[in-house]
Amino acid sequence: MARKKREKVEISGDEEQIVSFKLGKETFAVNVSQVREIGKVEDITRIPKMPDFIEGVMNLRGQITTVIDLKKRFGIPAGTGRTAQSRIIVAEIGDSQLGIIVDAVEDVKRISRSNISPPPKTLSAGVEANSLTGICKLGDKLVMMLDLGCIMSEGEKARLGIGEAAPHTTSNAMATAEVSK
Amino acid sequence: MDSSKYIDVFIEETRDQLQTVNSVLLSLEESGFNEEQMNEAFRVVHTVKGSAGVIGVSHICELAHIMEDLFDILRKRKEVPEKSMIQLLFTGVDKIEKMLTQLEKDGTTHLDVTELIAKMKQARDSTSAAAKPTADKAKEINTIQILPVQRTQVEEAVAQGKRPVQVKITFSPELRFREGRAYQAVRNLSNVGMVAASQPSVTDMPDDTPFFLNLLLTDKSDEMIIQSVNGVTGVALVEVAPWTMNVAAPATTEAKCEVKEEASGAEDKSSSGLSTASTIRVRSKLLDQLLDLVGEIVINNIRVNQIAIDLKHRELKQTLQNNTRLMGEMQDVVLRTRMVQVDFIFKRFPRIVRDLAQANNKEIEFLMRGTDIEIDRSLLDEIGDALVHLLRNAVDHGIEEKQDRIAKGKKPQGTIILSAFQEQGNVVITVEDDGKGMDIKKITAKAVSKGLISADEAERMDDRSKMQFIFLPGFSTADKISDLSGRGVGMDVVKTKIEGLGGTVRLDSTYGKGSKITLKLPPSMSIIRAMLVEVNSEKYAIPLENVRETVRVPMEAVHTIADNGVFKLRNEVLPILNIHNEFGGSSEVVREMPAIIVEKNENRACLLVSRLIGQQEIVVKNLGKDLRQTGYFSGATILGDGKVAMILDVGAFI
Repeated sequence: MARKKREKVEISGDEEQIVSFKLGKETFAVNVSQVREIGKVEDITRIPKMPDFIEGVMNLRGQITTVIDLKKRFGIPAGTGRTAQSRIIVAEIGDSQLGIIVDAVEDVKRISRSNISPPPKTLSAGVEANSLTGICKLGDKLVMMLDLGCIMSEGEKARLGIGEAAPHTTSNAMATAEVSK
Repeated sequence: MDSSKYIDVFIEETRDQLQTVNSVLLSLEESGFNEEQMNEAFRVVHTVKGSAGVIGVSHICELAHIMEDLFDILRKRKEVPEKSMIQLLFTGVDKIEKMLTQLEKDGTTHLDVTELIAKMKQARDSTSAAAKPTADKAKEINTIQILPVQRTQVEEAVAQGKRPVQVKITFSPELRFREGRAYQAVRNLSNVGMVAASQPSVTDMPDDTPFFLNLLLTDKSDEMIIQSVNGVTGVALVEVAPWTMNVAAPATTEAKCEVKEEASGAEDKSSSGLSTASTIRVRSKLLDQLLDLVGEIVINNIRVNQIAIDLKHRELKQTLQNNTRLMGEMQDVVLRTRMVQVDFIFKRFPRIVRDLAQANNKEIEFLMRGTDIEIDRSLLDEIGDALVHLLRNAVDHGIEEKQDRIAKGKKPQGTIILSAFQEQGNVVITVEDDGKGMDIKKITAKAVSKGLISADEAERMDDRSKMQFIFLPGFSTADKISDLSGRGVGMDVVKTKIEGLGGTVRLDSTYGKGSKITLKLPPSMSIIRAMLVEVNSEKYAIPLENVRETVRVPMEAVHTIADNGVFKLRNEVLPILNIHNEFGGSSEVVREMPAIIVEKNENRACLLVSRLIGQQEIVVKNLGKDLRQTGYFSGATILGDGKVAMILDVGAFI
C-alpha cells in the first residue's frame, strides 16, 4: 500500500519527496533523490589540516566518503553536540558521495511544490544562499530546503580557503600556528 | 536491435584487431612476405568489416571492405608490395582508429573517408589486373590434396568399405557470398557421406573462387551425391570423380596443418555445444567494483570472526576459518584478473616508433623485451602516455641523424630498446637508446643561466644531481630542445605521473653513448605493502617502499640545528619530522619515541610516531579532489576493523 503511494508521487509533477532533519533548533530538508542512505555516526577518521567543518572520512561499503559537519559548515552553534540521535545523511552528488552529520533525521514525506517559496535574501542561520533552494511551509513550521550539491561548491571552498593548504610548510611553522590559536 | 550496448565491445575488439593489422604491415615492411600473417590480416579486416556492418557504422564498414580487397590481392601475390600500398593500408588503419575514437566519444562518426576509399579502389583496380593471372593459377587445383593427418581417416573409411571420391562443385559465375553456399553444399554432402577435406577451405572462400573440391568418403552412388548438392542455389555444376591418395608433403604445409587442426577442433566442439572461447571481455569498471566488493567482504569477515570468538562457538569458528581461506583465494583471483601483459600497450609502439623515425628521416631498430610481464591494467593505462613520451624523446632527440652516426663511428642504424622485467616485486620498464646522450655541461650551463643554481654550486654538484634538472618543469622546453642534446621535453610530466602511481624514475646517460630511463612501478596500484603507525591516536599507513627502517629515538639524542631537530643515525644526520604538532595534536614529553626512517628520491628523514603497529598489505583507495588538496596524503585504505586510514605521502614531508 505504502509502496503504491510512493510510486504515485514520483509520477505527479507538483509534489516532491523530502527528507527533513534538524540542525540545532532549525529544520532543514533535502530532496530524497539526493540521499543515498542514512546511517549512524561512527568510525570517522579525522584528517589533519582540513577546515574544521570537514569531520573526516568514513568507509561506506568500500568507498572512502568525506564527512562534513553541517552545523559547523553553516556556523550554527554546536549546542548539545553529538547525541544518540545524530545521523549521517549520505548524499549522492554526481559521481561522488558526501556524508553529512545532522542532529537528527525527522521524517521522509511528500510535500506539494506550491508550499515552497523562494529563499529570502538574508538568513539568521548564515546558510549560504546558493545551497538554499527554498523555504517550505510545513504546518506551522518553516523548513529550509537545501541542495547538497552546492555545499562543497567551488565558491564555498574558496571562501573557506581549502585550496590554500600548503603541505611544504615546515613543521615548526605549523607548530607555532597551532600555539598561537 | 539496440546496438548501442554492443558499441563498447565493438570499439575495443576492433582496436585490438587493428593492432594485429598494424603489426602485420610492420613485419611486411621489415621482414618480407609471410603468407600466414597476410591471411591473418585479411581475416581480421574481414571481421572488422562484418562487425562494423552489424553495428551500423557504414564508414568503417566501407573502408574495411576495400582494405579487405587490398589484403586479398596482396596475399595472393605472395610478395612485398610497394611502399605506397603499405602506406595506404596504414592510413586506412589510422582512419578507422580515429573513427573509433569519435564513436567512443560522441557515439557517432563523420570522418570523411571517401577520398581514401577512392585511392584504395584505384590501387586495387590497378594491382588486381596485374595480379589476376597468378591468383588464378594458384586456384587451379584440380585434384584435392590431403594432409597426413587426414590420411588415416581415409584409410579407415576405405577399410569400412567406403570409397573416396572427389566432388567438384562449380559456382554460377555471378554468385555472391560463396562462402555460405559452399557451406551449405558441404552440409548436404555430409548427408551422403563424410567430407574429409575441402579445398579451398569453406570458411575462407572469396567470391572469386570459381569452384571448390571436396573429398567425400561415401558408400552411396555418384547420382545420389550429385543430387544432394544440386539443390543448393548458386551451384552450376557438380562433378564426381574417383580419387586416389596424394598426400601433400608435410614440410611445406606444416603451418597450414596446424591451422586446419585447430579449425576442425573448433568445429567438433561447437557441434557438441561447447563454447570455444577461453577468454571473455569484461568492462574494467566491473572488475573495479568486484575488487571493492571483495575488499568489503574481507573486512566484514574479520568482524564476523571476532563475533564468533566472542561467542566461543567452536563449529562456527571452524566454518569461518574456511571462509577466510576462500576469501583470501578470491581476493587473489580478482587481483589476477586485473593483470594484463604489458604487450597490451606495447604492441602499438613499433608503429609509433616507425612513424616517428620516418618523419625524422632516421633509421631505427626498435626492440621490445619482456612483453609478457604482467601488470595491473589500471596502472598500464596510466603509463601509456609516459612511455610514448619517452620513446618520442628517444627518436627525436636521442638517436642522431644517419650521417652524424657514421661520422661518430656508430652503426648507421640507431637502436631503441623497450624492455619490461620484474625486480623484487616491482615491474621495471626501461627505455634505452644508443643515441647522443645528455650533455652535462649544457644542462649545467642552462641551470645556471636560469638562475636555478649559482656557478659555484654547479662546481660542487655531481653529474647525477645535475641531470636531475631535466625533471624540472619547463626546464628545457623554453629553449630549443636540441640545444640540450637530448631529453627534457616533458620529463617533469613523466616523473610526476610515475611518482603519482607510486613508482620512481631514474635517468642514466653517457654523453655520446646514449641514455637509459628506468621506470620502477609497483606491480599493482591497488594493493601495496605498508607500515601502519599511530600518530595522535589516529592510524596512518606509510608505503613500505618509503620505509627504510624503524628505530627508537631517545629525546636526548635529538639536537637542534637552526630551529630544526636532527638525529644522528650511524654517521648520518637526519632531520626530525614531528607530525604530532603538525597534525594538530599535543606532543607529550616522552623520553623515547619510535620513529621511521623514511626516504624518497634519495632524501631521508626521521619521522616520529606515537606507536608502530606493523606491516600489512593494504588496498589503496583514491581520495576525492577535496581531500587530496592537503598534499599530505596520497590515498586512503580501509583497515581490518572497517575504519579508514590515510596513506602518508612521504614526499610531502621531505
